[in-house]
Amino acid sequence: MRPPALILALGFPLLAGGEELKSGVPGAELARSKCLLCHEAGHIVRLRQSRAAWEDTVDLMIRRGAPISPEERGIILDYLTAHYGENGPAGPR
Amino acid sequence: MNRDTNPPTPYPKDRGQVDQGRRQFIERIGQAGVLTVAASPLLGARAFAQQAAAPPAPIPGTVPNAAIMAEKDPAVKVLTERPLTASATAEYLHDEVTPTARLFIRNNLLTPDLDAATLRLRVTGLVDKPLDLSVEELQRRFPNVTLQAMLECAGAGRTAFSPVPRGTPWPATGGMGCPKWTGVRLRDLLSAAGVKGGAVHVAFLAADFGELATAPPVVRSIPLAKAVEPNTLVAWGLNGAPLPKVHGYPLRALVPGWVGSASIKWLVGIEVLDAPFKGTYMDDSYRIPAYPVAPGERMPKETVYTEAWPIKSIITHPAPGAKFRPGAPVMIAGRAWAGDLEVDRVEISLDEGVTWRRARLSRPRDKYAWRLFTYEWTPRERGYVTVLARATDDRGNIQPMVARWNPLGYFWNGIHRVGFSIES
Repeated sequence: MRPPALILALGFPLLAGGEELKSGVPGAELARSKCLLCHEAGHIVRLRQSRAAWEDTVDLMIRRGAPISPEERGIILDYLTAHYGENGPAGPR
Repeated sequence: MNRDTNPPTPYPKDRGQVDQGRRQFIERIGQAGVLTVAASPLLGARAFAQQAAAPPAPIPGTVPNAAIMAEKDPAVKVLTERPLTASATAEYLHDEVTPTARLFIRNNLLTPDLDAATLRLRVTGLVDKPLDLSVEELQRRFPNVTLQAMLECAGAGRTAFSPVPRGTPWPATGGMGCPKWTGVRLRDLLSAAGVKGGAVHVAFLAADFGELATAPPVVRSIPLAKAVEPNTLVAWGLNGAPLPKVHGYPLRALVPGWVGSASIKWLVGIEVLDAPFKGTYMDDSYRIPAYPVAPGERMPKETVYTEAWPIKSIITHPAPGAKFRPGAPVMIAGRAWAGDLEVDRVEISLDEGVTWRRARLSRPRDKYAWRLFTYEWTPRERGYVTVLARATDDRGNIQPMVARWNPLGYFWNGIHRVGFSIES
């Protein structure tokens, strides 16, 4: 829900057209609650990566301070790989 | 870096854990691992509150993106908002000296709103006499120099790679610029402090902070030899004015010709080390494989630092899609630069690389300034034309058609190609 509202609420109404993470699927709320602490959804939505590449990405974010437990890491990786994987379904753009 | 003994601090008081990370800057030198700041259960509470509430609460001690972009030319497009990155593309970079309003933005964290009146720059580590300077003292005590020099993100041009690696999605000709910088030579500071034997690297500590208190501070180090090179600066001026906040106000490092990340913004600490700094901005980013890997492969164990940019050029005129008439001269022009080296020549091809013709190349200005190349060409027939520009440095390194793929998408220096039309 609410891509424009979310962007506005975050105070960064610079990009034309908001993007949002795929919602209503396993892991979506957790991914949203962690990734969107520091980033807009576009960082994820524009990427199509293998699970290995997502592991590297998420682990980098953990080293840069993301509060993600080992259990949460697995759930988020499942979500990212399923919806933003190399061979995943086409995303919102 | 110890705020307890130096009360004026450039960053807000509620950044306790970030301050702690900075306080450890000295202590952790020589230790492996570094920056293990414990996670807090309250992390991100503000970010959640922002998502739920409107209007947005500005983050204390930072400059909002909208205020930053209001100072930029419309040609500078926002690529990402958190962190803020933005760039123009080659056709908007034709100015000999890149205007501040067209200089790219690459933040790692938020844009801190620092106070030049209270900020301290400290020079510590393997030195005889540590320095603790205000901005005004720095400007007054050391010779001031102004020079034009390239600044280019390591990932500039990243989206030209296939597959596109993660990281800032710079357009093929985005993430670079060549403005004029004013500051003092880093080597003058180091001489005043007296570098001790065993010094190997010089680290820069930045005052920017993230939305999470656990975000480690941005610290990068460069070899001593580059640090004492006369073009390496602690800069406060950009194109004759104070640095804009987003470009590092009041102080930043300038390490010309090298990956932009070495030119730390919001500089508050310089530390002389007996080894390269260990930290996430040294070890997790700004590295390439020690040997070529297949596109899409993971980073291998053996990696090397990214330092000087390889030979590169961009075509700034004509703009893509421009239209001209037969019989009227077309000035093909662009810029070439070569990291720590010199540009030797630039060649132009109007037949997709089958034949090449030498372009006129301007004299070198400041060592790290990009150089203008021009080639006048008069079209005789109507139709679509492509132009390629290929630069060669003084050691014979030639721009490739396609840059070597690497997992983090650094050092794109593939030949730039622009298409335009001749219409009768």
